[in-house]
Amino acid sequence: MTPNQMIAMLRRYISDEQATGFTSGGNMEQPEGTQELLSYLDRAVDEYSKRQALTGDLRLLRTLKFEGKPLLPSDFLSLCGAVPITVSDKIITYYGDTPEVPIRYFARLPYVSDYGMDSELPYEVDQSTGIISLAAVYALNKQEYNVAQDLMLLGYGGGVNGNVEQ
Amino acid sequence: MIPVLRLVKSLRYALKDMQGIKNSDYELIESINQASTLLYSRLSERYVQAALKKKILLVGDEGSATLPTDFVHIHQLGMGDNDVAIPTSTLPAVEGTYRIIGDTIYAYPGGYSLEYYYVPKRVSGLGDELDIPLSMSPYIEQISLALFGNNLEKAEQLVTQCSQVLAAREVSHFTDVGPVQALGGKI
Repeated sequence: MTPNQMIAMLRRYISDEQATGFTSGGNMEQPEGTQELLSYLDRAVDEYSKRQALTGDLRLLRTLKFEGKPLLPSDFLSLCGAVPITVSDKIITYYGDTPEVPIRYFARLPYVSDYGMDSELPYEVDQSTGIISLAAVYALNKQEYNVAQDLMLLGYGGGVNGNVEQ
Repeated sequence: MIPVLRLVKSLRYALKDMQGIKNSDYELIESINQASTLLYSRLSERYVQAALKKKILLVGDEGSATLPTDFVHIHQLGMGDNDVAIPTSTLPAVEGTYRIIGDTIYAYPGGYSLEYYYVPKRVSGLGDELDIPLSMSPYIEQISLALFGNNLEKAEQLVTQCSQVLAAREVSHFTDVGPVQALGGKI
């Protein structure tokens, strides 16, 4: 799935196929339209990844690489268990020479905006759907729709009378 | 020798974490190291011979030699012809005596058969092997699990149980001779 296809699907989710609610223009300085939907998708990627990491999604597992001066990866979310490293200014220091066992961590999925609009995104189908559904909640929330039911369906809480329980 | 990978696999299975999501390999290897150190320290304290190791020790002309790095305490220093050197509180002035100061043993120059209680060396990688007989594997697994769960009391109980089993291994069995004759028993 490409970012363009994700935007199109997101518009369907929020009933905005005609791009009337979120115009097709806009940029980062004036975040409207497509650009705004992209930022919702990125935000959804963040939240979705954190949620999946908490459930132990194996597809988010990566191994830290210790080559040269190792830096904490930009997609780093959390370590798998206790490991003998310290991090200062994003620089990883290992207790000892080099690790003799792999050090694994949960990584965030890449942002949608990191890819060209027609590039293939490295998401599985369920990941794309989860991200778009969450982005739709953000978009609808901006329009002040009651998204409690949507949040509940996504497993993100949501109470009666529109009270959102995070 | 027990392959570390085998122990880690067993621990992961017991912890229901085969994918290594909750616990790192480092944590498990550390608990294996703690378990083997605890078990062998207690075995040495209780003089259980399963924790014995035998090495040839060469004492040079200077009259001293460095003890092995896994040395805990001595069992005996054999000299050949079934003779055993005896400890002395002074530096050995006569043949057949020895003294240990720190990690150095002082004795008359020559070859000795050193029997000592040892603590297995630490392991650090999945490809390493723990310097422990394979038959001890179930005990090490259980003690590691107890230590991993910070349950020192259970770990000590397991160590005691293991010590008893291993101590009993030194004799095949005791024959029940029945009541002694003086008390009216049969021969």
